[in-house]
Amino acid sequence: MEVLAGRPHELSPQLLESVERYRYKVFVEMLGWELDTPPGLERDQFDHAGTLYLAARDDEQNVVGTARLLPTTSPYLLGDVFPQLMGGATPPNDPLVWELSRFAAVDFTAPNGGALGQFSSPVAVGLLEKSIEMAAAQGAQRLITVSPLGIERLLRREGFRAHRAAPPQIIDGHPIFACWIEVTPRTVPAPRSPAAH
Amino acid sequence: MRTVSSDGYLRLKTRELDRIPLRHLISNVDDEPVPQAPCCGAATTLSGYTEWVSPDEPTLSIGWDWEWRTAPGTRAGVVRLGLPRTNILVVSDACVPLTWEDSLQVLAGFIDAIDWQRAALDAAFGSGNDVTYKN
Repeated sequence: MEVLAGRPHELSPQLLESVERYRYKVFVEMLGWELDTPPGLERDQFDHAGTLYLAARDDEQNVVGTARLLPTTSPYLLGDVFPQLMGGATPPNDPLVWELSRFAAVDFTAPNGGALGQFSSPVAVGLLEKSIEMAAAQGAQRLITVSPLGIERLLRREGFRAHRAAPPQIIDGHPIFACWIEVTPRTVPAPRSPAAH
Repeated sequence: MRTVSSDGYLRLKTRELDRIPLRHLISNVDDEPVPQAPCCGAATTLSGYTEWVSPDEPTLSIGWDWEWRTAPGTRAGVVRLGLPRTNILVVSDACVPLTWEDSLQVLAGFIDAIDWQRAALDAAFGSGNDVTYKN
């Protein structure tokens, strides 16, 4: 797997179109999001010349994961569309905080299921590590992201330092939450153990 | 008055935590296995997650995984699995933050002191009512 990253002028038009097609497949066809987007392609008002894209590709050059990074000092998804997920706190507007959105790492060859269906390891882990690296290069110290609840488990399981900003909310039938992710290297966690009872 | 810091944490002293009632928000059963360390003699058949909040703003949020544990020679029951996920950072009486891991351990002890199992299972299996626990 390789992860390509850059702003639109740094990436090929073919790759950008592949990213939009992949996003349509994941977010519209698979997850059923009702988005105002051209048929077969998924893009929104946060896709523009300043957006930083990441695309994971397999050995056959197929896109197997996507993400995008936006500074919180400009309009971004959480701040403009989901501010309620901050639980009453003001969404960040800080050059040290970037937003990670449209994160997907779907393995379409594997059975789809569960809270982590949108995020198949190890593509998700590799893509997230690269996202953190890219954000750090932009001067970010933390990421904020709108995610399904299951991503929190994946972050914990894979040793990323993250915590929720507020309680999850049910949106379109799914528990969604705002998640802070520290821009630091992950640590391999110890196996979980059940509580003593 | 509780406030959320710019780093996104809700800082609470342990004794403040003890005074905040928790309201059950959502619980569900996993539809995929949760990876875990092998445990000798245990046979897990069911797992899920549960989410709890405080009624007042700024809202305390805490969730954790659970599993239905049956082991030879012991009574079957639901136990917390792993450390909680939360927006709370526990601080000392002098307002010095604990390490993240120590804070989660304190919160895990807090969870284990309340009767969350019935509400979580009722909600996960569709028979739940709103439940609030006054600690």
